[in-house]
Amino acid sequence: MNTIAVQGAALPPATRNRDTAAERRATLFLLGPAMTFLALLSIWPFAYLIYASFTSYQLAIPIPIEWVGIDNFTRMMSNPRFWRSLGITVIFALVAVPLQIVAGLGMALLLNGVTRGREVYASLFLIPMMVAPIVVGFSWNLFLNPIYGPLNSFLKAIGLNPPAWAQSPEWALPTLVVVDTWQWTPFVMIVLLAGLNSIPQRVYEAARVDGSTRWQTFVNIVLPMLFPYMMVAFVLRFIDSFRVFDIIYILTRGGPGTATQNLAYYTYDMGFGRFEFSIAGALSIIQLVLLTVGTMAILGFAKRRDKGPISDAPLPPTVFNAAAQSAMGAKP
Amino acid sequence: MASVTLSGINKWYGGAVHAVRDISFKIEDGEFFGLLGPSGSGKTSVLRMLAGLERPTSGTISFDGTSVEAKTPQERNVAMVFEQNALYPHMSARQNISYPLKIRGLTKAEIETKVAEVASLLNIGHLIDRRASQMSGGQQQRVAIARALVRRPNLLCLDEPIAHLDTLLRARLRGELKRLQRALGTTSVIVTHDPIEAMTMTDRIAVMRDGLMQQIGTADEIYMRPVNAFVAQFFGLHSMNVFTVGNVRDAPELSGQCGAQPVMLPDCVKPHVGAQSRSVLVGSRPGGVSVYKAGEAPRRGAALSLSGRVYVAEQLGDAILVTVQAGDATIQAMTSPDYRFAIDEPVDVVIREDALYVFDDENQRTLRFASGASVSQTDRLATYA
Repeated sequence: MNTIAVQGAALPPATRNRDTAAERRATLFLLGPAMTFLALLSIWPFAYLIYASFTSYQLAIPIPIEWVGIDNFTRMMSNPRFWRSLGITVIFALVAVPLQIVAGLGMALLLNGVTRGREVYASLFLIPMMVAPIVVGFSWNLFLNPIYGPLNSFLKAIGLNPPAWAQSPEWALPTLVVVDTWQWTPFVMIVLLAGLNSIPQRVYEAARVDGSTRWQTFVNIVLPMLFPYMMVAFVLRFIDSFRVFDIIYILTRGGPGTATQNLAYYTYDMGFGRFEFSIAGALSIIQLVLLTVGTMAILGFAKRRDKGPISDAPLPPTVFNAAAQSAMGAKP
Repeated sequence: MASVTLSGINKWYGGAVHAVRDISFKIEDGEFFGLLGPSGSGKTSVLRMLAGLERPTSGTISFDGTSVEAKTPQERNVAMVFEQNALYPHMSARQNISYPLKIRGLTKAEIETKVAEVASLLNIGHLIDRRASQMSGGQQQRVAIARALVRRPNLLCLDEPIAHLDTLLRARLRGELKRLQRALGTTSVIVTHDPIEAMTMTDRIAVMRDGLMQQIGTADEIYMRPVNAFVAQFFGLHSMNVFTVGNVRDAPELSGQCGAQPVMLPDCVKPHVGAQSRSVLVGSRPGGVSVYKAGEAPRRGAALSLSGRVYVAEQLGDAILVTVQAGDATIQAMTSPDYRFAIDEPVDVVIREDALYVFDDENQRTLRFASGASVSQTDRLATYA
């Protein structure tokens, strides 16, 4: 041991410098292409987006682009359509995400009780998540079609008078919530299943010996131990729910009227419907700020809940590995 | 507190694994009882059945004469300390210890008093607001013990509670656990694979193997009078030397062979030599074996002697453990630290008659015990290590 340490220290400094320089060149060579692409495809457009949002850039009207300061932002802030679409976005997130968490928890608990073929069931349940959102949209579009869709045919057959789901002003938003929940509950399930797998059998047994009923164990021990996993699922789904676009585009086009026009769809409509690029840019930046603040608030809440004399438990770092493993059939 | 009786306990897992086979024994009220065995011996299954985590396939368990097989752990009022990682990780030590009381609906004041009491008993007052992740393994186990004791259980089940701690801490906790059990008088059962833990802490020990009960007794009884070769080899700090001497002849002297190595045998072995096989299974604790430089062994009648080579000599501080390869046998001897042995040095090994055990060649039962005084004290004292 000592010998090795001495040898390491005795290397001539020049050699080590040369090594580092060569390493640096190798690093640049290996990372260079990826960084170039990143710069071209992500960083530059993002920088341009910020710039554009402070100008009068309109694609359809060939006027000179002028610097307008925060005009675009103030115009949005005083625009009722912006506030309405923000409201729809928030309502969507606050209904769909908790729904997904509750349903995902239920599925995870059911699946956790299955001893045989758990991996098979987990994989089957994951199918909606693996389907491209656009395909999900088209499938549901067929399923919900008021004239020849199977759902309404069935409901009519049993004597009900069903609404025209995606085309109905009252039902369009709930329909989108259901579709999003259908697609993404499996994701929550797999995260929470990983969480359940992380609870050692001994903890359940300790609780049993301590006299804890199943319900008491669930409330006092399982749920708190799942909390970090639920936070991970919540944050990821919360962010995703802000950018729901595909299913809206296919099922409702933001309608009827503006009933399902969330911020993402409104931004799209501004940018590619009316070619108001600077306004769309401003909208994007507002969303970015909202999401960042929202996520930080949620994580802050999660942390504060764990504070006190007790330090905060870190979020499980391997939650996705664990999720992937239990999904792909590795034995827990 | 309770006395516990098990009778005719069998446990099958899935119809294929017969983990516990027809076990019966009684644990007295206030006794500290050890279940000792290698892994897979069924000792943990027995403990789990006592705790009510599993039900026996057949047989009865009773606490103070009342049958409890159908009762939950809570109804039995048992407490359990697990190997490790059984604290509720999201709770502080205080919350962990309070949990069994909280779900029983005790008032805040009652809980506080009881927790403070047990915390001072286990010296964990300063840790009370820490979480499991902020405590060392030993501290976690102390909290787990506190959680078990806080509700004064009828029976305390300890499943290898200190097996995963480091040596020094283990030695300290052994003493603490023993004193604690004495002070509280709680009937306790500890499962362990470490004979030292069983010997040092418990009043009586049950040795198990392959689901079968081998022997029940005090540490001294089992050490001095093991019922068979397995117990003899498993029990004690150092394994008993057990080896077969074959091809036994009576003339000119009683002698046999261990592999190709000639062995001189004392007369006491004679009645135990198999009629058909002409072989005998003998044994001795390392403390009963003397090692001499080749040719220096005193010619004495009533002893087993053979020649071999030193395989390795291990310095234990106040003694040397010499391992000798003699024919087919590997024999360990505890010798005085004054001797120095080189690897592969030729030596003579002598086991005096009064240190010699003889086992049945076929079923391994003990046929002859060493007489107590002859078993060197070194080996028994060395159990502190």
